[in-house]
Amino acid sequence: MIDVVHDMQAVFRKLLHSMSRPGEVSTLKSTIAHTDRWSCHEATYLTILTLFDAEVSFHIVSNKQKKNLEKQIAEYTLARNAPIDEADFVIVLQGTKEQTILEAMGTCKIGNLLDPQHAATWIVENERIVQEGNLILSGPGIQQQTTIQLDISDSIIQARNERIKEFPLGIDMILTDAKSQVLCIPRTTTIVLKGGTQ
Amino acid sequence: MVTWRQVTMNLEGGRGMMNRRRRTEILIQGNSDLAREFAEHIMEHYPYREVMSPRYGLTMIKMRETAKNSLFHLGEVLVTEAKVEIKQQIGIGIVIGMKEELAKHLAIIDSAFKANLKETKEWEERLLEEEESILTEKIKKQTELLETRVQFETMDM
Amino acid sequence: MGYVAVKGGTEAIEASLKRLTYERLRGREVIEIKTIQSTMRGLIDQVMSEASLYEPNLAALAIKQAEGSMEEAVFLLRAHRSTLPRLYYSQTVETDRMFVERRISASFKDIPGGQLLGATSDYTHRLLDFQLIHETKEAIEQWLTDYEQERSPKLPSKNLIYFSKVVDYLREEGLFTEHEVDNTPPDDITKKSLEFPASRSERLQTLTRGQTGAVTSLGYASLRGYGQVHPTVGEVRVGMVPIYVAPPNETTEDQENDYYIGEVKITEVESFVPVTKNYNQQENDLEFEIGYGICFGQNETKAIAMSILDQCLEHPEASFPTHDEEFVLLHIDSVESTGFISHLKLPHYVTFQSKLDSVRGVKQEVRKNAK
Repeated sequence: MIDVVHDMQAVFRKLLHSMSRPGEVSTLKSTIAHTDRWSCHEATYLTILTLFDAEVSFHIVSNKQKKNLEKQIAEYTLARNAPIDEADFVIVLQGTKEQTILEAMGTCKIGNLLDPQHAATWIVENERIVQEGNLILSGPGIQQQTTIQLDISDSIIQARNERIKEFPLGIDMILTDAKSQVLCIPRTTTIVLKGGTQ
Repeated sequence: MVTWRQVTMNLEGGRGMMNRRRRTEILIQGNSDLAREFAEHIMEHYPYREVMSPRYGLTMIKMRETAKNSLFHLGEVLVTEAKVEIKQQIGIGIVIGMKEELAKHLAIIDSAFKANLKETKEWEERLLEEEESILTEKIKKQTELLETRVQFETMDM
Repeated sequence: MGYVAVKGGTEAIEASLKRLTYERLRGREVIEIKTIQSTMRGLIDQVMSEASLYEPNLAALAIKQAEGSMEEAVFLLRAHRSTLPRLYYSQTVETDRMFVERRISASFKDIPGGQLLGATSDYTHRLLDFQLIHETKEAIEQWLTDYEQERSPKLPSKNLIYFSKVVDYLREEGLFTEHEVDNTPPDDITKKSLEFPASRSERLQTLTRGQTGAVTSLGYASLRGYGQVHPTVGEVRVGMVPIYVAPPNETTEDQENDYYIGEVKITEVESFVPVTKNYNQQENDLEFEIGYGICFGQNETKAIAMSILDQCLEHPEASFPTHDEEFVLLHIDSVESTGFISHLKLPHYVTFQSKLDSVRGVKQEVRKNAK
């Protein structure tokens, strides 16, 4: 059962914290009974339940069957399923092929100069998020720099960097993992690969 | 002179399909004990899961204006919404106002209909009875209001 | 005098808030929400309409908390609205499905269905009723029992009447232009701020939640000559309209599958305005146009005034302020106008100092020159 007041607000506070402190890992906890059958990470569906409502649209990026999850999200949150170039939220399920993600990355919304907020927010699943690793983050909300390790490939990071070039246009990302951890990378954050360039 | 051509709803209207539109009209306009009774029966006999406990939200009212026949938003009305799952069918209860209980009962009844539970067939008679008493009540109220109808008399000058 | 940053006042503010509570409580009287709800119909309707949120209980609570201050009650309700998720959009509401409680026409004596006065203060003497000072619950019960008994228990008819709109009859006679059904999705001023020129849907949404006094004043100004619209009221109707919601995530268009969610009370007005139409240079033809007014609850003055302003704004070519949509639409919102006026109470120490400085400078200059 969804307890909007307690669970969702706690999740929202954590997401907000992670979004304002890019690279800092938070763990989402809920009292939601695990009888709910969700074919995604707990951190993913908690984020979805917290951020989605009837006013937003979403698109799932996956190579597997995704009809059930689409239906479930729509039923629980009233959000609309939409094509990738219209979706307010893009959800990448774990195990999705790099090529599929790159294609979505290339076509998703990044806002326009009048309304930069009309951009897609990405929710990307990882097996494991690690604080400290090969990605160097810097920018607002980060003192000097911080490093993290994700499962997603370097070329996806490069594609993301490509799409945030023209600030204030760009995409914001929420990374989730199997251990209910989340980490955020807003469009203001610069990502550099260790030993490489942007 | 223009003639009388009122649209009316008739007490002897009757039967027909008990679809969701009609069912929710009866359950919300009628006595809320009916929804409680139906819902409690289902809760006793079937496993159910509260997907969304009753919560408050808004519904934006979309209207058609009669000057240019165009659409606009009138404003929002507060509603209570609940969602319940029975046999993998998620039912929704939505009602204007702050009515947690009724919203939950409506959600249970909605999922019962979606899951095609046998009870729903047995409810039809009760729903029709309630529909009739709602209509009678409305006609009574309208009759009272019609007492304020003006009877013009033409004056001889 | 230099710029000095100041802080403080926390304790004074806390004491002031306490004082506010004291003022509300010192009479040692409790007013129940349900008392407000059942006795302050007009106030509640006005608060709901200006707040653009229909919920009589919360409106009554806002009135109690605001100690009857309209602007404060509207502000409270508007603020509360912003904390709630918008779950649904209704199916298009059409007012010919209204359960009519009052319906009159100033244009025609014999409207089909008749003139239904309903409950109105239009025919009262406006003499203060001093008996109300000593009104008791028993007296209320007695009055209600008598009223019940006056009426015959028999149902004269088996039919419930839905009153047709007066304009429909006139359209059928060809006296009014029949407009094609326009299903353009309406804009929403709660999601996107007004930009000019505004769309018709934005204008209507702004007008319907305008402050009653402001809408009335501007409508009146137009009537008195600061505008070109002087209408005849074609129909005023007050009653309950049913609200339906389409099932989310179901693709069927079948309305039989909709959820009925309840009803809301509204006032709706169509005003008839004669307009000269110039067809081919020489020929001037007289035609009628309709001004449309509507609001939550029963508030006929506001709805009629809105219908005047609607018609004014449809004709921006007239050079009156009441025909200027920027002038009308940006100044009638209760929260915006009262908010901007009352912000003047906030410290403007620095800006005012700089104004003083310039005045002092000018005066010195003048004195110097005078010597």
